[in-house]
Amino acid sequence: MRRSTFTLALLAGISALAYAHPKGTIRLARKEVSVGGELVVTGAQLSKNETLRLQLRGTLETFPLAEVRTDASGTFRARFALPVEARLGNYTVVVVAPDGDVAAQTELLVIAAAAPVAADSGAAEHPAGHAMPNTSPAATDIPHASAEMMEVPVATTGSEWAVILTIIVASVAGGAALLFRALRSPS
Amino acid sequence: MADHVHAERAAEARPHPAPTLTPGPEHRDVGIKERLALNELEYRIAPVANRLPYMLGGLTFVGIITLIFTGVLMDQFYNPTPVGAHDSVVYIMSRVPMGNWLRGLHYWAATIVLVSVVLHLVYVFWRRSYLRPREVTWWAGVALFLTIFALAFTGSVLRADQEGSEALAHAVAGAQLVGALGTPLTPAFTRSAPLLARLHNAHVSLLPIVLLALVGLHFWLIRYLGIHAHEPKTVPFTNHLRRLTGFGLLLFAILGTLAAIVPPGIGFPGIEGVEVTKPFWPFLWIYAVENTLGIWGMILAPLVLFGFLFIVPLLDRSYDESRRPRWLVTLAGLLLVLYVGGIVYGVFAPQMQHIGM
Repeated sequence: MRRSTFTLALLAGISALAYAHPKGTIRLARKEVSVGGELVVTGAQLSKNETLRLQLRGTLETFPLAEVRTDASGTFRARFALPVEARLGNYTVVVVAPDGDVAAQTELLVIAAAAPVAADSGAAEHPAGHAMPNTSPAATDIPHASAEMMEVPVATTGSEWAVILTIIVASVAGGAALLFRALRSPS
Repeated sequence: MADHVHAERAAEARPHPAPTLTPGPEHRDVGIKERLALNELEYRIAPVANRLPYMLGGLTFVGIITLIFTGVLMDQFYNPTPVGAHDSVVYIMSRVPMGNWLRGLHYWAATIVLVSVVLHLVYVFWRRSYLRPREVTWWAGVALFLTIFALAFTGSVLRADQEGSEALAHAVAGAQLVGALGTPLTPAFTRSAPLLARLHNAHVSLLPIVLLALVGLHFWLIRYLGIHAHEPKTVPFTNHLRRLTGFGLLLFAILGTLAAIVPPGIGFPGIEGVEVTKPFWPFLWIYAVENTLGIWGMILAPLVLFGFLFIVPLLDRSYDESRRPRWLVTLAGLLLVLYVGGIVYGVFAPQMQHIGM
Protein backbone atom coordinates (compact mmCIF):
# COMPACT_ATOMS: atom_id res chain seq x y z
CA MET A 1 0.00 0.00 0.00
CA ARG A 2 2.73 2.38 1.01
CA ARG A 3 4.74 1.45 -2.12
CA SER A 4 1.72 2.07 -4.38
CA THR A 5 1.10 5.45 -2.85
CA PHE A 6 4.76 6.37 -3.34
CA THR A 7 4.65 5.24 -7.01
CA LEU A 8 1.48 7.24 -7.67
CA ALA A 9 2.98 10.29 -6.02
CA LEU A 10 6.13 9.91 -8.10
CA LEU A 11 4.14 9.60 -11.32
CA ALA A 12 2.05 12.61 -10.41
CA GLY A 13 5.23 14.55 -9.76
CA ILE A 14 6.70 13.57 -13.12
CA SER A 15 3.46 14.56 -14.82
CA ALA A 16 3.50 17.90 -13.07
CA LEU A 17 7.07 18.45 -14.24
CA ALA A 18 6.20 17.47 -17.80
CA TYR A 19 3.39 20.04 -17.90
CA ALA A 20 5.07 22.82 -15.99
CA HIS A 21 3.23 25.37 -18.10
CA PRO A 22 -0.36 25.10 -19.31
CA LYS A 23 -1.04 23.74 -22.78
CA GLY A 24 -2.77 26.53 -24.60
CA THR A 25 -4.38 27.04 -27.96
CA ILE A 26 -3.69 29.39 -30.83
CA ARG A 27 -5.87 30.31 -33.74
CA LEU A 28 -5.08 31.91 -37.06
CA ALA A 29 -7.40 34.38 -38.73
CA ARG A 30 -6.78 32.42 -41.96
CA LYS A 31 -5.45 28.90 -42.41
CA GLU A 32 -3.98 29.85 -45.78
CA VAL A 33 -1.75 32.85 -46.24
CA SER A 34 -0.01 33.89 -49.41
CA VAL A 35 3.76 34.26 -49.55
CA GLY A 36 4.81 37.40 -47.70
CA GLY A 37 1.23 37.91 -46.50
CA GLU A 38 -0.05 38.96 -43.12
CA LEU A 39 -0.65 36.57 -40.27
CA VAL A 40 -3.06 37.27 -37.41
CA VAL A 41 -2.63 34.98 -34.42
CA THR A 42 -4.67 34.79 -31.23
CA GLY A 43 -3.67 32.67 -28.27
CA ALA A 44 -5.57 31.53 -25.18
CA GLN A 45 -5.18 29.33 -22.12
CA LEU A 46 -1.47 30.11 -21.97
CA SER A 47 0.73 31.09 -19.02
CA LYS A 48 -0.31 34.45 -17.62
CA ASN A 49 1.87 37.53 -18.05
CA GLU A 50 4.63 35.66 -19.82
CA THR A 51 6.76 36.38 -22.88
CA LEU A 52 6.43 33.67 -25.49
CA ARG A 53 8.16 33.15 -28.81
CA LEU A 54 6.29 32.40 -32.03
CA GLN A 55 7.96 30.28 -34.69
CA LEU A 56 7.03 29.18 -38.19
CA ARG A 57 8.23 25.58 -38.56
CA GLY A 58 8.38 24.14 -42.06
CA THR A 59 9.66 20.81 -43.35
CA LEU A 60 13.11 22.16 -44.00
CA GLU A 61 13.39 25.45 -42.13
CA THR A 62 12.21 27.22 -39.00
CA PHE A 63 11.59 30.98 -39.03
CA PRO A 64 11.29 33.12 -35.88
CA LEU A 65 8.09 35.14 -36.15
CA ALA A 66 7.74 37.38 -33.11
CA GLU A 67 7.76 37.60 -29.35
CA VAL A 68 4.40 38.12 -27.69
CA ARG A 69 3.37 38.79 -24.11
CA THR A 70 0.29 37.21 -22.66
CA ASP A 71 -2.07 39.22 -20.49
CA ALA A 72 -3.41 38.40 -17.04
CA SER A 73 -5.88 35.90 -18.50
CA GLY A 74 -3.24 34.06 -20.56
CA THR A 75 -4.30 35.37 -23.96
CA PHE A 76 -2.60 37.40 -26.69
CA ARG A 77 -3.26 38.71 -30.18
CA ALA A 78 -0.54 39.49 -32.69
CA ARG A 79 -0.37 40.62 -36.28
CA PHE A 80 2.79 40.39 -38.41
CA ALA A 81 4.04 39.68 -41.91
CA LEU A 82 5.27 36.24 -42.92
CA PRO A 83 9.01 36.06 -43.58
CA VAL A 84 9.61 36.55 -47.29
CA GLU A 85 11.98 33.56 -47.22
CA ALA A 86 9.12 31.21 -46.33
CA ARG A 87 8.33 29.22 -49.49
CA LEU A 88 5.05 27.63 -50.42
CA GLY A 89 4.18 24.67 -48.26
CA ASN A 90 2.77 23.30 -45.05
CA TYR A 91 3.95 24.93 -41.85
CA THR A 92 3.24 24.77 -38.16
CA VAL A 93 2.92 27.99 -36.19
CA VAL A 94 4.37 27.19 -32.79
CA VAL A 95 4.23 29.03 -29.46
CA VAL A 96 7.43 28.33 -27.55
CA ALA A 97 7.45 28.77 -23.76
CA PRO A 98 10.49 30.27 -22.01
CA ASP A 99 11.67 26.76 -21.08
CA GLY A 100 11.72 25.76 -24.76
CA ASP A 101 8.62 23.60 -24.67
CA VAL A 102 5.86 23.95 -27.23
CA ALA A 103 2.95 25.62 -25.45
CA ALA A 104 0.57 25.62 -28.43
CA GLN A 105 0.63 25.00 -32.16
CA THR A 106 -1.54 25.10 -35.26
CA GLU A 107 -1.18 24.37 -38.97
CA LEU A 108 -0.67 26.97 -41.69
CA LEU A 109 -0.52 26.65 -45.45
CA VAL A 110 1.58 29.17 -47.34
CA ILE A 111 0.20 29.57 -50.84
CA ALA A 112 1.39 31.40 -53.93
CA ALA A 113 0.84 35.10 -54.08
CA ALA A 114 -1.68 36.20 -56.69
CA ALA A 115 1.02 37.71 -58.85
CA PRO A 116 1.57 37.14 -62.56
CA VAL A 117 3.77 34.11 -63.05
CA ALA A 118 5.99 33.89 -66.10
CA ALA A 119 5.08 30.29 -66.67
CA ASP A 120 5.24 30.64 -70.42
CA SER A 121 8.97 31.25 -70.38
CA GLY A 122 10.50 28.11 -71.80
CA ALA A 123 13.94 26.58 -71.56
CA ALA A 124 15.10 28.19 -74.76
CA GLU A 125 14.68 31.62 -73.24
CA HIS A 126 15.95 30.65 -69.79
CA PRO A 127 18.33 27.77 -70.28
CA ALA A 128 19.96 28.23 -66.91
CA GLY A 129 16.97 29.61 -65.07
CA HIS A 130 15.93 28.12 -61.76
CA ALA A 131 12.57 27.59 -60.22
CA MET A 132 14.27 28.26 -56.90
CA PRO A 133 17.94 29.23 -56.85
CA ASN A 134 18.55 27.45 -53.56
CA THR A 135 16.59 25.76 -50.81
CA SER A 136 15.43 29.08 -49.44
CA PRO A 137 15.12 31.56 -52.27
CA ALA A 138 13.42 34.85 -51.91
CA ALA A 139 9.73 34.23 -52.33
CA THR A 140 9.42 37.26 -54.52
CA ASP A 141 11.62 35.65 -57.23
CA ILE A 142 9.76 34.95 -60.43
CA PRO A 143 10.01 31.18 -60.84
CA HIS A 144 11.54 29.73 -63.99
CA ALA A 145 11.43 26.07 -64.89
CA SER A 146 14.75 24.27 -65.06
CA ALA A 147 16.03 20.83 -65.95
CA GLU A 148 18.98 21.25 -63.59
CA MET A 149 19.40 19.34 -60.36
CA MET A 150 19.34 21.02 -56.96
CA GLU A 151 22.35 20.96 -54.69
CA VAL A 152 20.90 19.32 -51.62
CA PRO A 153 23.18 19.44 -48.57
CA VAL A 154 23.38 15.75 -47.72
CA ALA A 155 25.36 15.12 -44.56
CA THR A 156 25.80 11.39 -44.01
CA THR A 157 27.50 10.90 -40.65
CA GLY A 158 30.32 8.47 -39.98
CA SER A 159 28.05 6.12 -38.06
CA GLU A 160 25.56 6.12 -40.95
CA TRP A 161 28.34 5.22 -43.37
CA ALA A 162 29.38 2.45 -40.99
CA VAL A 163 25.84 1.02 -41.00
CA ILE A 164 25.62 1.26 -44.80
CA LEU A 165 29.00 -0.42 -45.19
CA THR A 166 28.01 -3.17 -42.74
CA ILE A 167 24.80 -3.86 -44.66
CA ILE A 168 26.69 -4.07 -47.96
CA VAL A 169 29.46 -6.29 -46.57
CA ALA A 170 26.92 -8.53 -44.80
CA SER A 171 24.98 -8.89 -48.08
CA VAL A 172 28.13 -9.87 -49.97
CA ALA A 173 29.17 -12.34 -47.25
CA GLY A 174 25.68 -13.85 -46.96
CA GLY A 175 25.28 -14.10 -50.73
CA ALA A 176 28.70 -15.68 -51.21
CA ALA A 177 28.09 -18.17 -48.39
CA LEU A 178 24.74 -19.24 -49.85
CA LEU A 179 26.17 -19.63 -53.34
CA PHE A 180 29.13 -21.59 -52.01
CA ARG A 181 26.77 -23.90 -50.11
CA ALA A 182 24.49 -24.30 -53.12
CA LEU A 183 27.43 -25.15 -55.40
CA ARG A 184 28.70 -27.77 -52.95
CA SER A 185 25.35 -29.52 -52.64
CA PRO A 186 24.54 -32.07 -55.38
CA SER A 187 22.38 -30.71 -58.18
CA MET B 1 -7.09 -57.84 -46.16
CA ALA B 2 -10.06 -55.85 -44.92
CA ASP B 3 -8.79 -56.25 -41.37
CA HIS B 4 -5.41 -55.03 -42.43
CA VAL B 5 -6.88 -51.87 -44.03
CA HIS B 6 -9.09 -51.38 -41.00
CA ALA B 7 -6.07 -51.64 -38.71
CA GLU B 8 -4.16 -49.11 -40.86
CA ARG B 9 -7.05 -46.64 -40.74
CA ALA B 10 -7.37 -47.10 -37.01
CA ALA B 11 -3.68 -46.38 -36.65
CA GLU B 12 -4.08 -43.20 -38.75
CA ALA B 13 -7.02 -42.11 -36.63
CA ARG B 14 -5.06 -42.43 -33.41
CA PRO B 15 -3.44 -39.18 -32.32
CA HIS B 16 0.20 -39.07 -33.27
CA PRO B 17 2.54 -39.24 -30.30
CA ALA B 18 4.44 -36.06 -29.64
CA PRO B 19 7.83 -36.16 -31.38
CA THR B 20 10.55 -37.07 -28.94
CA LEU B 21 13.33 -34.94 -30.29
CA THR B 22 16.41 -34.36 -28.29
CA PRO B 23 17.41 -30.73 -28.11
CA GLY B 24 20.08 -29.73 -30.60
CA PRO B 25 20.54 -27.53 -33.65
CA GLU B 26 19.68 -30.28 -36.15
CA HIS B 27 16.45 -31.21 -34.41
CA ARG B 28 15.54 -27.59 -33.99
CA ASP B 29 15.98 -27.24 -37.77
CA VAL B 30 13.66 -30.21 -38.31
CA GLY B 31 11.13 -28.65 -35.94
CA ILE B 32 11.14 -25.30 -37.78
CA LYS B 33 10.82 -27.07 -41.15
CA GLU B 34 7.89 -29.08 -39.81
CA ARG B 35 6.11 -26.13 -38.26
CA LEU B 36 6.51 -23.85 -41.29
CA ALA B 37 5.87 -26.71 -43.76
CA LEU B 38 9.19 -25.93 -45.42
CA ASN B 39 9.46 -29.56 -46.52
CA GLU B 40 6.96 -28.62 -49.20
CA LEU B 41 9.74 -26.62 -50.85
CA GLU B 42 11.77 -29.78 -51.44
CA TYR B 43 9.94 -30.53 -54.69
CA ARG B 44 12.07 -31.25 -57.74
CA ILE B 45 12.75 -28.86 -60.59
CA ALA B 46 14.78 -29.03 -63.80
CA PRO B 47 18.53 -28.38 -63.24
CA VAL B 48 18.50 -25.73 -65.98
CA ALA B 49 16.51 -23.49 -63.61
CA ASN B 50 19.73 -22.89 -61.68
CA ARG B 51 21.30 -21.07 -64.60
CA LEU B 52 21.42 -17.29 -64.28
CA PRO B 53 19.16 -16.47 -67.28
CA TYR B 54 16.42 -18.51 -65.63
CA MET B 55 16.84 -16.52 -62.44
CA LEU B 56 16.07 -13.14 -64.01
CA GLY B 57 12.46 -13.35 -62.84
CA GLY B 58 13.54 -14.23 -59.31
CA LEU B 59 16.10 -11.41 -59.27
CA THR B 60 13.39 -9.03 -60.43
CA PHE B 61 11.42 -10.16 -57.38
CA VAL B 62 14.43 -9.41 -55.14
CA GLY B 63 14.39 -5.90 -56.60
CA ILE B 64 10.65 -5.62 -55.92
CA ILE B 65 11.17 -6.63 -52.28
CA THR B 66 13.90 -3.97 -51.98
CA LEU B 67 11.52 -1.43 -53.48
CA ILE B 68 8.78 -2.33 -51.01
CA PHE B 69 11.06 -2.06 -47.96
CA THR B 70 12.72 1.20 -48.99
CA GLY B 71 9.38 2.60 -50.17
CA VAL B 72 7.67 1.88 -46.84
CA LEU B 73 10.52 3.55 -44.95
CA MET B 74 10.56 6.64 -47.17
CA ASP B 75 6.79 6.96 -47.09
CA GLN B 76 6.97 7.67 -43.35
CA PHE B 77 8.53 11.02 -44.25
CA TYR B 78 6.81 11.81 -47.55
CA ASN B 79 4.13 14.48 -47.71
CA PRO B 80 1.80 13.78 -50.66
CA THR B 81 0.47 17.31 -51.05
CA PRO B 82 1.39 19.57 -53.97
CA VAL B 83 2.92 22.19 -51.66
CA GLY B 84 4.70 19.77 -49.33
CA ALA B 85 5.89 16.95 -51.59
CA HIS B 86 9.11 18.45 -52.91
CA ASP B 87 10.24 19.71 -49.51
CA SER B 88 9.58 16.32 -47.97
CA VAL B 89 11.77 14.62 -50.60
CA VAL B 90 14.55 17.13 -49.85
CA TYR B 91 13.94 16.40 -46.15
CA ILE B 92 14.36 12.64 -46.78
CA MET B 93 17.61 13.32 -48.63
CA SER B 94 19.09 15.77 -46.16
CA ARG B 95 17.64 15.14 -42.71
CA VAL B 96 16.45 11.54 -42.41
CA PRO B 97 19.24 9.26 -41.13
CA MET B 98 20.50 7.27 -44.13
CA GLY B 99 17.60 8.82 -46.07
CA ASN B 100 19.68 9.70 -49.12
CA TRP B 101 21.00 6.13 -49.27
CA LEU B 102 17.51 4.67 -48.87
CA ARG B 103 16.25 6.85 -51.68
CA GLY B 104 19.22 5.81 -53.81
CA LEU B 105 18.48 2.17 -53.06
CA HIS B 106 14.88 2.73 -54.15
CA TYR B 107 15.98 4.43 -57.36
CA TRP B 108 18.58 1.82 -58.30
CA ALA B 109 16.25 -1.05 -57.38
CA ALA B 110 13.62 0.44 -59.70
CA THR B 111 16.26 0.76 -62.43
CA ILE B 112 17.45 -2.84 -62.04
CA VAL B 113 13.86 -4.15 -61.92
CA LEU B 114 13.06 -2.36 -65.15
CA VAL B 115 16.17 -3.83 -66.80
CA SER B 116 15.80 -7.37 -65.45
CA VAL B 117 12.10 -7.58 -66.25
CA VAL B 118 12.82 -6.71 -69.90
CA LEU B 119 15.67 -9.24 -70.07
CA HIS B 120 13.43 -11.86 -68.45
CA LEU B 121 10.69 -11.14 -70.97
CA VAL B 122 13.06 -11.33 -73.93
CA TYR B 123 14.53 -14.63 -72.70
CA VAL B 124 11.11 -16.16 -72.06
CA PHE B 125 10.00 -15.06 -75.52
CA TRP B 126 13.16 -16.53 -77.06
CA ARG B 127 12.55 -19.83 -75.24
CA ARG B 128 8.87 -19.76 -76.35
CA SER B 129 7.81 -20.42 -72.79
CA TYR B 130 4.44 -18.84 -73.55
CA LEU B 131 3.31 -21.90 -75.47
CA ARG B 132 0.48 -24.05 -74.17
CA PRO B 133 -0.17 -24.56 -71.26
CA ARG B 134 1.75 -21.48 -70.06
CA GLU B 135 -0.21 -18.72 -71.79
CA VAL B 136 -1.61 -17.36 -68.52
CA THR B 137 1.87 -17.39 -66.96
CA TRP B 138 3.00 -15.18 -69.86
CA TRP B 139 -0.02 -12.87 -69.57
CA ALA B 140 0.53 -12.50 -65.83
CA GLY B 141 4.16 -11.61 -66.60
CA VAL B 142 3.19 -9.00 -69.20
CA ALA B 143 0.64 -7.52 -66.77
CA LEU B 144 3.45 -7.40 -64.18
CA PHE B 145 5.66 -5.58 -66.68
CA LEU B 146 2.87 -3.05 -67.25
CA THR B 147 2.29 -2.62 -63.50
CA ILE B 148 6.01 -2.05 -62.92
CA PHE B 149 5.92 0.64 -65.61
CA ALA B 150 2.93 2.25 -63.90
CA LEU B 151 4.78 2.16 -60.58
CA ALA B 152 7.87 3.74 -62.13
CA PHE B 153 5.72 6.46 -63.68
CA THR B 154 3.81 7.32 -60.50
CA GLY B 155 7.09 7.21 -58.57
CA SER B 156 8.68 9.77 -60.87
CA VAL B 157 5.66 12.07 -60.39
CA LEU B 158 5.96 11.93 -56.58
CA ARG B 159 9.31 13.76 -56.65
CA ALA B 160 7.32 16.91 -57.47
CA ASP B 161 10.35 18.47 -59.13
CA GLN B 162 10.27 19.83 -62.68
CA GLU B 163 10.51 16.34 -64.18
CA GLY B 164 7.76 15.08 -61.87
CA SER B 165 5.59 18.08 -62.63
CA GLU B 166 5.94 17.46 -66.38
CA ALA B 167 5.18 13.75 -65.92
CA LEU B 168 2.05 14.73 -64.04
CA ALA B 169 1.04 17.11 -66.83
CA HIS B 170 1.57 14.27 -69.33
CA ALA B 171 -0.64 11.97 -67.25
CA VAL B 172 -3.41 14.56 -67.30
CA ALA B 173 -2.98 15.24 -71.03
CA GLY B 174 -2.99 11.52 -71.81
CA ALA B 175 -6.03 10.97 -69.63
CA GLN B 176 -7.89 13.72 -71.44
CA LEU B 177 -7.05 12.11 -74.78
CA VAL B 178 -8.74 8.84 -73.85
CA GLY B 179 -11.91 10.52 -72.63
CA ALA B 180 -14.00 8.93 -69.88
CA LEU B 181 -11.46 6.14 -69.37
CA GLY B 182 -8.89 8.64 -68.20
CA THR B 183 -11.14 10.63 -65.87
CA PRO B 184 -9.54 9.28 -62.65
CA LEU B 185 -6.23 10.73 -63.82
CA THR B 186 -7.56 14.26 -64.19
CA PRO B 187 -7.86 16.90 -61.45
CA ALA B 188 -11.54 17.24 -62.35
CA PHE B 189 -12.24 13.75 -60.97
CA THR B 190 -12.63 15.16 -57.46
CA ARG B 191 -12.04 18.44 -55.67
CA SER B 192 -11.49 16.71 -52.35
CA ALA B 193 -8.00 15.34 -53.07
CA PRO B 194 -5.23 16.64 -55.33
CA LEU B 195 -4.12 14.44 -58.21
CA LEU B 196 -0.66 14.10 -56.67
CA ALA B 197 -2.19 12.59 -53.52
CA ARG B 198 -4.23 10.14 -55.60
CA LEU B 199 -1.17 9.12 -57.62
CA HIS B 200 0.68 8.65 -54.34
CA ASN B 201 -2.16 6.43 -53.21
CA ALA B 202 -1.85 4.44 -56.44
CA HIS B 203 1.92 4.17 -55.99
CA VAL B 204 1.85 2.92 -52.40
CA SER B 205 -1.35 0.88 -52.24
CA LEU B 206 -3.34 0.21 -55.40
CA LEU B 207 -0.48 -0.71 -57.73
CA PRO B 208 1.50 -2.74 -55.13
CA ILE B 209 -1.64 -4.76 -54.39
CA VAL B 210 -2.08 -5.46 -58.11
CA LEU B 211 1.64 -6.23 -58.37
CA LEU B 212 1.65 -8.71 -55.49
CA ALA B 213 -1.53 -10.39 -56.75
CA LEU B 214 0.08 -10.84 -60.17
CA VAL B 215 3.34 -12.07 -58.62
CA GLY B 216 1.28 -14.59 -56.64
CA LEU B 217 -0.49 -15.80 -59.77
CA HIS B 218 2.79 -15.93 -61.71
CA PHE B 219 4.52 -17.96 -58.97
CA TRP B 220 1.53 -20.25 -58.52
CA LEU B 221 1.49 -21.11 -62.22
CA ILE B 222 5.25 -21.64 -62.33
CA ARG B 223 5.00 -23.91 -59.29
CA TYR B 224 2.34 -26.13 -60.83
CA LEU B 225 3.09 -25.88 -64.54
CA GLY B 226 6.86 -25.72 -64.09
CA ILE B 227 9.28 -23.87 -66.30
CA HIS B 228 9.60 -24.65 -69.97
CA ALA B 229 12.37 -27.28 -69.95
CA HIS B 230 12.82 -30.71 -71.51
CA GLU B 231 15.02 -32.34 -68.92
CA PRO B 232 13.97 -34.44 -65.93
CA LYS B 233 13.25 -32.69 -62.65
CA THR B 234 16.07 -33.76 -60.40
CA VAL B 235 17.12 -30.74 -58.36
CA PRO B 236 15.34 -29.77 -55.13
CA PHE B 237 13.72 -26.35 -55.30
CA THR B 238 15.47 -25.41 -52.04
CA ASN B 239 18.79 -25.58 -53.87
CA HIS B 240 17.42 -23.15 -56.47
CA LEU B 241 16.10 -20.94 -53.68
CA ARG B 242 19.52 -20.92 -52.01
CA ARG B 243 21.24 -19.86 -55.24
CA LEU B 244 18.60 -17.26 -55.94
CA THR B 245 18.92 -15.80 -52.43
CA GLY B 246 22.70 -15.81 -52.86
CA PHE B 247 22.53 -13.93 -56.16
CA GLY B 248 19.81 -11.72 -54.68
CA LEU B 249 22.04 -10.68 -51.78
CA LEU B 250 24.89 -9.94 -54.17
CA LEU B 251 22.49 -7.88 -56.27
CA PHE B 252 21.38 -6.04 -53.14
CA ALA B 253 25.03 -5.30 -52.32
CA ILE B 254 25.51 -3.86 -55.83
CA LEU B 255 22.38 -1.72 -55.42
CA GLY B 256 23.59 -0.54 -52.01
CA THR B 257 26.98 0.38 -53.44
CA LEU B 258 25.42 2.26 -56.35
CA ALA B 259 23.09 4.07 -53.95
CA ALA B 260 26.08 5.14 -51.86
CA ILE B 261 28.30 6.18 -54.76
CA VAL B 262 25.78 7.50 -57.30
CA PRO B 263 22.69 8.66 -55.39
CA PRO B 264 19.92 10.19 -57.51
CA GLY B 265 19.42 13.92 -57.37
CA ILE B 266 16.27 15.98 -57.39
CA GLY B 267 15.35 18.91 -59.61
CA PHE B 268 13.98 22.25 -58.52
CA PRO B 269 10.31 22.47 -57.53
CA GLY B 270 8.11 21.95 -60.58
CA ILE B 271 6.65 24.82 -62.53
CA GLU B 272 3.46 23.96 -64.36
CA GLY B 273 2.83 24.71 -67.99
CA VAL B 274 6.36 24.27 -69.35
CA GLU B 275 8.37 21.30 -70.61
CA VAL B 276 12.10 21.60 -70.13
CA THR B 277 13.06 18.10 -68.95
CA LYS B 278 13.11 14.57 -70.29
CA PRO B 279 11.41 11.71 -68.45
CA PHE B 280 12.93 8.94 -66.32
CA TRP B 281 14.99 6.79 -68.74
CA PRO B 282 12.52 3.84 -68.98
CA PHE B 283 10.05 6.24 -70.60
CA LEU B 284 12.46 7.71 -73.12
CA TRP B 285 11.17 5.38 -75.89
CA ILE B 286 7.72 6.93 -75.40
CA TYR B 287 9.32 10.37 -75.36
CA ALA B 288 10.98 9.52 -78.69
CA VAL B 289 7.61 8.64 -80.23
CA GLU B 290 6.10 11.82 -78.75
CA ASN B 291 8.82 13.84 -80.50
CA THR B 292 7.39 12.51 -83.77
CA LEU B 293 3.67 12.07 -83.15
CA GLY B 294 3.05 14.59 -80.41
CA ILE B 295 1.14 13.79 -77.24
CA TRP B 296 -0.70 10.89 -78.95
CA GLY B 297 2.64 9.09 -78.92
CA MET B 298 2.28 8.45 -75.20
CA ILE B 299 -0.91 6.51 -75.89
CA LEU B 300 0.07 4.75 -79.12
CA ALA B 301 3.61 3.61 -78.23
CA PRO B 302 2.66 1.65 -75.09
CA LEU B 303 -0.47 0.37 -76.82
CA VAL B 304 1.61 -1.14 -79.64
CA LEU B 305 4.27 -2.67 -77.36
CA PHE B 306 2.02 -4.07 -74.64
CA GLY B 307 -0.66 -5.00 -77.17
CA PHE B 308 1.88 -7.06 -79.09
CA LEU B 309 3.16 -8.71 -75.91
CA PHE B 310 -0.36 -9.66 -74.83
CA ILE B 311 -1.23 -11.33 -78.12
CA VAL B 312 2.05 -13.25 -78.53
CA PRO B 313 0.56 -16.57 -77.28
CA LEU B 314 -2.31 -16.12 -79.72
CA LEU B 315 -0.01 -15.37 -82.65
CA ASP B 316 2.21 -18.39 -82.06
CA ARG B 317 0.02 -21.43 -81.55
CA SER B 318 2.32 -23.94 -83.19
CA TYR B 319 2.77 -27.07 -81.11
CA ASP B 320 5.92 -27.97 -82.99
CA GLU B 321 8.57 -26.33 -80.85
CA SER B 322 11.25 -26.76 -83.49
CA ARG B 323 9.35 -24.55 -85.92
CA ARG B 324 9.40 -20.97 -84.71
CA PRO B 325 7.37 -18.54 -86.85
CA ARG B 326 9.99 -16.32 -88.43
CA TRP B 327 7.68 -13.41 -89.01
CA LEU B 328 6.91 -13.30 -85.28
CA VAL B 329 10.59 -13.29 -84.36
CA THR B 330 11.22 -10.55 -86.95
CA LEU B 331 8.35 -8.46 -85.58
CA ALA B 332 9.50 -8.95 -81.98
CA GLY B 333 13.09 -8.12 -82.96
CA LEU B 334 11.92 -4.96 -84.71
CA LEU B 335 9.97 -3.87 -81.63
CA LEU B 336 12.97 -4.57 -79.39
CA VAL B 337 15.23 -2.52 -81.65
CA LEU B 338 12.67 0.31 -81.65
CA TYR B 339 12.36 0.07 -77.85
CA VAL B 340 16.11 0.17 -77.16
CA GLY B 341 16.73 2.56 -80.06
CA GLY B 342 13.96 4.83 -78.77
CA ILE B 343 15.62 5.00 -75.36
CA VAL B 344 19.01 5.79 -76.91
CA TYR B 345 17.42 8.37 -79.23
CA GLY B 346 15.59 9.87 -76.25
CA VAL B 347 18.88 10.43 -74.44
CA PHE B 348 20.33 12.48 -77.30
CA ALA B 349 17.15 13.93 -78.83
CA PRO B 350 16.46 17.64 -78.44
CA GLN B 351 14.08 18.56 -75.67
CA MET B 352 10.63 19.33 -77.07
CA GLN B 353 7.24 20.54 -75.94
CA HIS B 354 4.67 17.75 -76.42
CA ILE B 355 1.53 18.91 -74.67
CA GLY B 356 -0.52 20.96 -77.08
CA MET B 357 1.67 19.81 -79.98
